Amino acid sequence: MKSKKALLLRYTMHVVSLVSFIFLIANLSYPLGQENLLLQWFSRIDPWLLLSQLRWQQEVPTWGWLPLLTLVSTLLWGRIFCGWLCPFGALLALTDKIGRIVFKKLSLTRNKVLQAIQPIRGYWLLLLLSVFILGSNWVFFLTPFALFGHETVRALQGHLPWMLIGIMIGTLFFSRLWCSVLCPTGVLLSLAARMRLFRYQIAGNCIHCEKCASACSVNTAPVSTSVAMEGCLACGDCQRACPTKAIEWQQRSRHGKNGQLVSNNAVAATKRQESRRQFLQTALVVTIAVALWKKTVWAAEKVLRPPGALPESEFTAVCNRCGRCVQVCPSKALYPMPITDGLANFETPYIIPRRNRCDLCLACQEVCPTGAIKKVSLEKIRMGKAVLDKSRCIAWNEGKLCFICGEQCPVLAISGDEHHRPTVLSDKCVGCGSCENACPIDGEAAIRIFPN
Amino acid sequence: MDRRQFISGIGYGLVSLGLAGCGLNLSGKSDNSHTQNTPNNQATPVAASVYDRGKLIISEGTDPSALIEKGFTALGGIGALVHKGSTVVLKPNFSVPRKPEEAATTNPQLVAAVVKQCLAAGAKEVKVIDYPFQSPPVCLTNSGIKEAVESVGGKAYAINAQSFYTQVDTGGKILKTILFSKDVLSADVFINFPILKHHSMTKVTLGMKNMMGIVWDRGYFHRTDLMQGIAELTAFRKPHLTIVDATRGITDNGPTGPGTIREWNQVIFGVDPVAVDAYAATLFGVKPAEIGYITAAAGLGLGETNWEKLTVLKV
Repeated sequence: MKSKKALLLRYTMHVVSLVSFIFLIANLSYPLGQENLLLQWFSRIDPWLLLSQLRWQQEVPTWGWLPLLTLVSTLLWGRIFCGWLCPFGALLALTDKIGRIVFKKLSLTRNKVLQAIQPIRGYWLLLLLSVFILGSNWVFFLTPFALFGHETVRALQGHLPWMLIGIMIGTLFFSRLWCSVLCPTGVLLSLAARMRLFRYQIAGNCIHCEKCASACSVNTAPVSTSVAMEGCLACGDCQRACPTKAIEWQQRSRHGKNGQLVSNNAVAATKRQESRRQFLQTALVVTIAVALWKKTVWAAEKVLRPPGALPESEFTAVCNRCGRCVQVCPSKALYPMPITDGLANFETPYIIPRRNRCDLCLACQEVCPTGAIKKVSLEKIRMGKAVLDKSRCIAWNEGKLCFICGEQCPVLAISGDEHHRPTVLSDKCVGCGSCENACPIDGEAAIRIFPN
Repeated sequence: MDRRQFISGIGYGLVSLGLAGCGLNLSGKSDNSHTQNTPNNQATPVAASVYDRGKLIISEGTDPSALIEKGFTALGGIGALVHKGSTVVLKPNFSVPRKPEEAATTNPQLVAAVVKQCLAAGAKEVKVIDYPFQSPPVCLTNSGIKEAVESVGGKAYAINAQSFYTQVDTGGKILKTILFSKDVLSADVFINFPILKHHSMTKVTLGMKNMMGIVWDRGYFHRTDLMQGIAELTAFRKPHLTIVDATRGITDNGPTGPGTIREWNQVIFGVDPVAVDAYAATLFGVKPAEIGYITAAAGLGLGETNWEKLTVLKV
């Protein structure tokens, strides 16, 4: 009965988390309201956001207590964030349930695949951390609030959220492989969960039916070890699946001491035997990370970034591609960069002025959770510079009465002579792209923005 | 974000499958010059205005409601123009994302006062529209128009997609066929409601210039002949009434600003679009003859440049 209540509570939390996350993202609009604040706080639960702040801003943010709270709760109860709170986790839990109903016969394969892949988790985390510390931010981009955020935005904007679809299809066949092995937040919290105080463990009469193992979506059921492993999402499926009610949610010290000792000894023994090999493997991963990270951050051609964006190299490193700026932009000027522009640029926001101009409303600065788009006042914004090609300008070239570029410039950076022929005042230009956007000639504009 | 968008958003987020379509990106640079011109479908002016076109009402003061009330009373009452069940379209200027105090957009309190009057007279619907340079949410919010209009029961929105327009034969020399606002075409009453302010190209922007906010392709005007285009546009669809917000406006750096603000504390009401613009230009300090579109419109016989010939009533 108790576990049924817990199940109901977990499903409720899944729905609330998933619906509120999508609702908040979908409601990001100018002028910004509470939805932005709620979303900011929601995503601060993820410790990676704190790591990013420490890495790039070198300061502890005022909200630092919240991700620390996540860590503390993981130390106490394991990955309850992943199993109960994470909106992406909620979606994948639902997908997994569907997968288990539709592809019933695959349950054995699921466990085998999870079992085979799970050992790489530690190395994967090491690789992620190395690349992250070295300065590439596609790591951060894989964290749930960022990944699910921008995939939701893609869907809302009418584009195909192919990463999300890919992960969901994977989940149908391989359960929560993403949460258990690939998600940076998941693997980080798994590490912390090794020391957790409460967990599911076998406290009764286990008949080794392995029903708990096939019910588990992350292959951590206490079947062979008598305690659930560190990747456990504390979902309680094993407890409900157990026909003899042998699995209990218990504190580490009180029960199952024997089991703990055995497993500890086993681990220690393995460690001694394989310490040399592990050291070599670790060294290899770090070497690979050091050797490859540069390759993942190559700079593409300069593009126009949002107003207040950090300098290019820093920008792509700090931006977590959460998609919120793209969603909030009232003039639809911000687009996520396609993967063809490189992993370092993938999904980072940029502006193509000929398509849509930046209205300098600065809502993107407000929604940015990482500080990649810094809160810079209008006077200090310099995104790019307008350059006029007189030979193509119809005011200069054909004597037409056209001064649209100057008319629409919001910062008076284009002056007209007595015939209303435009000239750019470079020191005033912020690079919003109004002029390039408004230029009435066909094809490429006669006045164009060059990114700073 | 309205409810419908949100619901569809949820749908997308949850289902995440079968998402079709790419973002509609309609640029304002479509070229209509290739479209066929069916001749002789010259502007069918909507039923001529009920008010005396020989009158020019100048309402003076600082209180928005009083300025509007006095003006309509002097014209002969709002009831004569707006009947029960009619649809009214107001075309103020909120084309730039400036705040009311920056004096580059029509004063939202004045607009709200007119909306209120129309609804009180029994209008079924009052739509407040413009095709802003910048994104609608920013312009509608910053100008204060949306909040003010909605608070009195009107609708304010930007007509910034091609679906708001339909092709019409304008039969002019320059304007032959254009994409024109459906809202204006279907309205029972069309009130043009510009702000008096500086404009770099036409010196001052007024009623007739304000009409450019109800056509899809503005670039066409600039590529051909701006002044003649504006005049022909007015000939196609003369507003039933023009109200000029001349309470305060920028006198340089127009139309976008920011600029030096001058206060006139007047609101001008008139049926004759040329006379209204000519008076406002004079108030601004420019001779009507210097404004290209005023002379072009007079040339088309749209009204009287010499506003002093009209009965000018100061209230």
